[in-house]
Amino acid sequence: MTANIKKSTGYQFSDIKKSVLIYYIVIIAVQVLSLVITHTIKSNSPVILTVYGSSTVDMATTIFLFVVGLCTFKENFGMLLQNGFSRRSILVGRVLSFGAIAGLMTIIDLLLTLLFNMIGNAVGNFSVTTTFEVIYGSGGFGWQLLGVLCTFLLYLAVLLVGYCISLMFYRLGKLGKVLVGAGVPALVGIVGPILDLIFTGGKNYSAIDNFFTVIFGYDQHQPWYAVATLTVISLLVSLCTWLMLRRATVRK
Amino acid sequence: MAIEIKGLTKHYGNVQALRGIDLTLEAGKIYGLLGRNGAGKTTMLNILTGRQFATAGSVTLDGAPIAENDESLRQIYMLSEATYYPESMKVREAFKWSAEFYPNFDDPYADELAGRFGLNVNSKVNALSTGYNTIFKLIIALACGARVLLLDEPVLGLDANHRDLFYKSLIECYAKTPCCVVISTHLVDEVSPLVEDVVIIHQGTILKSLPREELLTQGYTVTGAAAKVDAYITGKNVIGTDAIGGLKTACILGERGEGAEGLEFNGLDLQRLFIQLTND
Repeated sequence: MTANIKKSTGYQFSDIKKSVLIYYIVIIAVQVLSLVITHTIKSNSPVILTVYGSSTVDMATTIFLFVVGLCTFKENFGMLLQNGFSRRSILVGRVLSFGAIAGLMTIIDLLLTLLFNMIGNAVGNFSVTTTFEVIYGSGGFGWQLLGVLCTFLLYLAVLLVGYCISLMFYRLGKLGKVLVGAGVPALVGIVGPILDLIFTGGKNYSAIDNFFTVIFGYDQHQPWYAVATLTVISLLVSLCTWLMLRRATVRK
Repeated sequence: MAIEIKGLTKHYGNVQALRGIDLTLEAGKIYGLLGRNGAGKTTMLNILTGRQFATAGSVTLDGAPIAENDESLRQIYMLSEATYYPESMKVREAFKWSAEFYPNFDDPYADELAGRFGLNVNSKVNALSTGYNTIFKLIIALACGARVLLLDEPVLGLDANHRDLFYKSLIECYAKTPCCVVISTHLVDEVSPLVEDVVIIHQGTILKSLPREELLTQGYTVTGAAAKVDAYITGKNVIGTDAIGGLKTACILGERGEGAEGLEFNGLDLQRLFIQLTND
């Protein structure tokens, strides 16, 4: 790794560090509060923490990281160009810093899951799950490791997708921003399903749904499909990001 | 060490910002980059630092292309009107990161300059006034130890005292480490004593690129009654005239000829020459 990439990675990692710290303070506070409230209610039936439990930690982390990806382009790009970094060093540093953040947060989420499981067992009426287990089921140590890998790749992919989207909006003109920002969600979320329902009885959207079920291995409980899919998504998104970044210029 | 600019051209749609610029910037010199608004100064400096891309032409540092070259880019620091430091970053943090990015960054000197200018290092960048924002960037430029300093409007928003302090600090820094300094400014008279070479850019082309002394000895001014001046300048290479009431001043390129009764002869000053050369 060249010195510049190391510096670029260090700066971009440091830029996210504080947000991550605040995020976990909030998450832990919410978890503790929910445990206290649940324990106070003293329900006799076993409580599965699907609302406040660890399954929401990894989903909450996924959403948080997508927002982080969306928010980290513009300021960093200007700062690093100002300080003599090439676009290549900026992107490589960005991907490496995202990898470090995704890895770190995967481990923290795993530790939080274990911690809340311990507390749940001590209290006696809690069971804590992860999204991976909800989708693919439980298993032995190898299965758990696969769950960690899937979570890491999911976190990395959403960071990269968020970053790519913010770069795309940075590169687009005013009209492009409106068309993509409003047009695409309206087309995909409203107009598309209505037209599909009218003309094909919803077959196309059903096919898309099936496609995602297959590539993430939901139906066959095959997390390796998800590992492959998330890896391909990360690579493709990184490539798209590079194509847009290599000719990006500074703006006031 | 030299920056070589060859055939540098930049188009923004139908607008030609730079038209095939050829220029060499050498180490150990302070350049004054002068040009009217929209002449192409900032565009040229942005291309030199890889912030924008040229439509055609090349820019090299010691023979190596600058664009997307980390090694070359690291040796150049550009102070621009726009601030690219994060708004919520504190001045002290910006110094810390500058030290991380520039191996020769002189942290104690940065602190000393902050003290001289009265800059609070615990302020956030977005809390600084226009003048202090410029001072903040000036301090990093002077302390970073880069071999090339490109200063685009370095006195924006600075009061006379701070401008004077900046010029003194620049000379002090330059005496310590003679680097290549390019000052792009509209305050021609103020930077005139500082610069060794003058580059005048007009409508995207280089009009003049000469040592200041050589440029100023290329001509002279003659002042007197309008009729006498008109008679004197006939057949001479006049680059411009000013008239106030019955009094006229003409700027003439070439050797000063025989004196004429009732006329006053003076040397050219940089601002007058610049105005005459760039008047459309």
